[in-house]
Amino acid sequence: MNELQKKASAATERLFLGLVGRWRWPSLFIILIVTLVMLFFALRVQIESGNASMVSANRELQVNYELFRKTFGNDETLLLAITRPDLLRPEGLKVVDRMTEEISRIKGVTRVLSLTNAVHLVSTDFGSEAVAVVAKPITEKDLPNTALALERNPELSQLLLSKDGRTGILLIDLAGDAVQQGGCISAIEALLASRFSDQDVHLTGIPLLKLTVSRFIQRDQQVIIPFSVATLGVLLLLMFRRLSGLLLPLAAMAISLCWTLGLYSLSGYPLNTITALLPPVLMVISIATTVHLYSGWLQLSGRPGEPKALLAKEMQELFLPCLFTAITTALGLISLLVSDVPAVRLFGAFSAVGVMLSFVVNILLVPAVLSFLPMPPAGRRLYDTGALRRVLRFTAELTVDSPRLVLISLLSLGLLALSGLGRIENNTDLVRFLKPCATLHRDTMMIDEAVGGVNRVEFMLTRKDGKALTGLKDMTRLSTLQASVDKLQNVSGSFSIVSILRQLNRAEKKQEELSLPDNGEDLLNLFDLLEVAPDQEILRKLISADFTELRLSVRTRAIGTSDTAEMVSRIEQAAARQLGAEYTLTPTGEYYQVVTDSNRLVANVISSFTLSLGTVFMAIFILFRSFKLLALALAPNLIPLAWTAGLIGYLGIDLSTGTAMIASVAIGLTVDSTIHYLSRYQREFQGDCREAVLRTTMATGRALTVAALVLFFGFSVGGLSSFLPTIYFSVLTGITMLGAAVCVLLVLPASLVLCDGWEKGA
Amino acid sequence: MKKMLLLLMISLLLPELSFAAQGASELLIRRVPAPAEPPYQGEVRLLRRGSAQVVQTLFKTKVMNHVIAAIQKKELRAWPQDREGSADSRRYTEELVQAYHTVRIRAKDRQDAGDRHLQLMIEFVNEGERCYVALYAPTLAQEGDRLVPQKKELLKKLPMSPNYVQKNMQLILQDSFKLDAGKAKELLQQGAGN
Repeated sequence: MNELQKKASAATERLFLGLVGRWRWPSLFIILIVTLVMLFFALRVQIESGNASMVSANRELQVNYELFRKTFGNDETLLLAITRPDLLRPEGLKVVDRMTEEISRIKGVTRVLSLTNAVHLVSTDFGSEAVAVVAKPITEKDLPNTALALERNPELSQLLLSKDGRTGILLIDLAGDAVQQGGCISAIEALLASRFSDQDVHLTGIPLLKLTVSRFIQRDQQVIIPFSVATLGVLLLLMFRRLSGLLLPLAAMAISLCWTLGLYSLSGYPLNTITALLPPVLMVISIATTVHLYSGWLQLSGRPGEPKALLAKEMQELFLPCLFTAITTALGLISLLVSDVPAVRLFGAFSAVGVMLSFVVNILLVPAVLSFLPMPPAGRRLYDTGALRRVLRFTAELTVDSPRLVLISLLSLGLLALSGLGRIENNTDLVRFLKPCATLHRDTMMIDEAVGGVNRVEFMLTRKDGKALTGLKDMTRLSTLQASVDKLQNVSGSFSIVSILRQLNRAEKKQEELSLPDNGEDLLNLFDLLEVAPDQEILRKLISADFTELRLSVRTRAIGTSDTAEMVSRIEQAAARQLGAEYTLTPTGEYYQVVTDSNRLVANVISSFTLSLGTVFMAIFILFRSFKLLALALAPNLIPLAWTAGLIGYLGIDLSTGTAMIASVAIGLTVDSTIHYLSRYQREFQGDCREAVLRTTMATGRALTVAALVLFFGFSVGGLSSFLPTIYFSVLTGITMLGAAVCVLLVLPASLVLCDGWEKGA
Repeated sequence: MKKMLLLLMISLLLPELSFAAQGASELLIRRVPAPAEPPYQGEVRLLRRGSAQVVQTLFKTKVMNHVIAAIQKKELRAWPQDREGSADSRRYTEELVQAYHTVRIRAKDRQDAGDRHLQLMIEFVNEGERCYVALYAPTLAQEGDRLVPQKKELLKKLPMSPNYVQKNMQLILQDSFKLDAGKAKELLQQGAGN
């Protein structure tokens, strides 16, 4: 032991003697005051009403999207579908009309477009004229005209009517920010429930998705936290069978959570889909530390000596492993800072802070509280004797007697699991983030099925010379591109100013077919007409006021980001071929941002995992200062991750925001068991490796198993979440924790025994 | 020779001078851009010119053909074939189309800097017993939502029945100023100085 270590050891000894002695009241008082202050702020934590934190901070994407919104306005539209067998009969159309009228009157609704207020362009003796698709009052005799209008305007029909003519779509534009839009959506839902409860209606769209996510976060907080406390409580009671074994870990957990959420709230961040995971994750991580400290205290049972001195000594022994497990867990979480998604970065930063705060809370609270309790009497405890003890004994003997068999079997399982890696697909689907039974999921799928597409990828077309896009060449090329785009798989239609120009040209020329003019002068005349059209608002959604920027809106089926990214790439290739070098076609829009972010996840995952692996193992090296132990620590930590990755691949779970975080979070946690095991092994090793392994497994195995079960059940409570990525993250991280415990109790001792044999042989 | 040059200069300046003199003797009673919201395509003005009431419509638009079509449509609706004044209406719309062609051809000939706007001025003038419609090729300057006539060249002056002119003046005011028939009549009386 060098001078520094001696000083550190003396300092921790003084610390714990103080914490179990004269400092215990002041430390408890400080904890109480800080907790009350932080509770005040924690209770005021806001819930994010949009999904801004889920979108990456990519400057180029943001600039493009800002320009798009500035030019063409909001691309977030609500889709309301109404299904009736008699939709195109007067009765059905009257309901659609009433619905359109009443929704239009809701504050915050800027426009509703439906079958009953849509217009189309017709030829008259005085030029083209906009005429309602459905004449008012709605009567039987006008129905043939409506049918003809829909037949002659396929792009409009596709937008507002299903192919079977039984489902009509109302496109609803909302004003304001996400909060105002949320209020407006609630008003629409209330209207539908009160005035149209007898109708078969379905609502979807990005504003509703944002609102649903916000509602689910609130719901999850209300369900998961109490359930998590209850589960962990039952588990602690079962394991320790003591009131202090229940209350102390729960108190440490509550205080840690209070401090972290208070800090989060003080920093001004609202909870989002990802940071909503902070409470359950911190709860289990905090309890795991308390379990180790409390188990250490239980092991003092029957030991001779002064109780407080024994307690301080035990806490001092556990201080370094607990500090390093907290550091390695925090390092694993900190690695999420490399993510492009702000929500993931926030989660990484605050969960790392939470882990360290939890360590501080545990170190200050647990010894102080335990110092008030009498020494645990020697007696029967579930984890101490019986089934668990037999299992641990068998495990320890297996690793000592057949280390090769253990290693080969578990490594083979790891290699087998790795073959599932190739099956993992990078795919994020905002709607499929919700459970299939969620109303929004069902409604979106229904609307997607009926009208063939609810997602829209937006493109901005400009000329590189900055000139207006009013030339015949511009429009013909765009028209050709649209024709190619419409043929692509998963594209259900595209819309641009070309669609309007074709209609206008047909009406002006009194033609039958939809086509663009055959000369530039006629096309300019059409643009002149558009310039003075009464409804400039609609036109501004398709082309900028100076005609230099044009919007191409591509409607896609409810596919994931992986397929959408491929589709966008094909559109870009088609644009390069058909538009040529004079034009720039920029993909953008709310949905495209999600697509791009999802595709960057893989790069993020690799760098985040590499970073966490590097830092975590560096921490192990600093703690043990042994290359041998560092090398031995690799396998038991990587094998459970390989198992989980294989599981993800074989179960067909996509790599998304939630699942991408598993590796980084898990590596920081799995390594904790290794640290505790190796620390104890170093203490137990007195020349005989096999004996040391047997004693270490028996001594730490109990706490490791309890901690693994706490982590598994604690994380698994996240399975009650409303979001599938959260469910996958929680359950799979829990499974990884169990796998880690198995590997630490089997692979690590087997490796130690084998290594010792090789060293002796050498 | 000097006298000849002076006469020539006077004759060249005469239309400008007479336009300026006319402008000075005009009293603008009320004006409104047309349509009421941008993009504006023209302006409707009620003027008093001496003892005459004038409803003046100025157009500066890229879609003159559609403007003419809209006027034709309104005329046809207001003056159906069997109604007294329909002949005046027909003559007016025919001459209007002719005037449109004239300004269009002239604009094509001078096609400056790609400006696709065409300009036209229509006046319904009521001088008591003498009523007429005048069609002009003007030069109009846009100042915000106002059109300021700088020059005008008479293309056609069409004497019409007082009934047709007065009724049309009232209809234009009704339509442009969003008034009912009674209020439009009152406004027209103001134009007559009563």
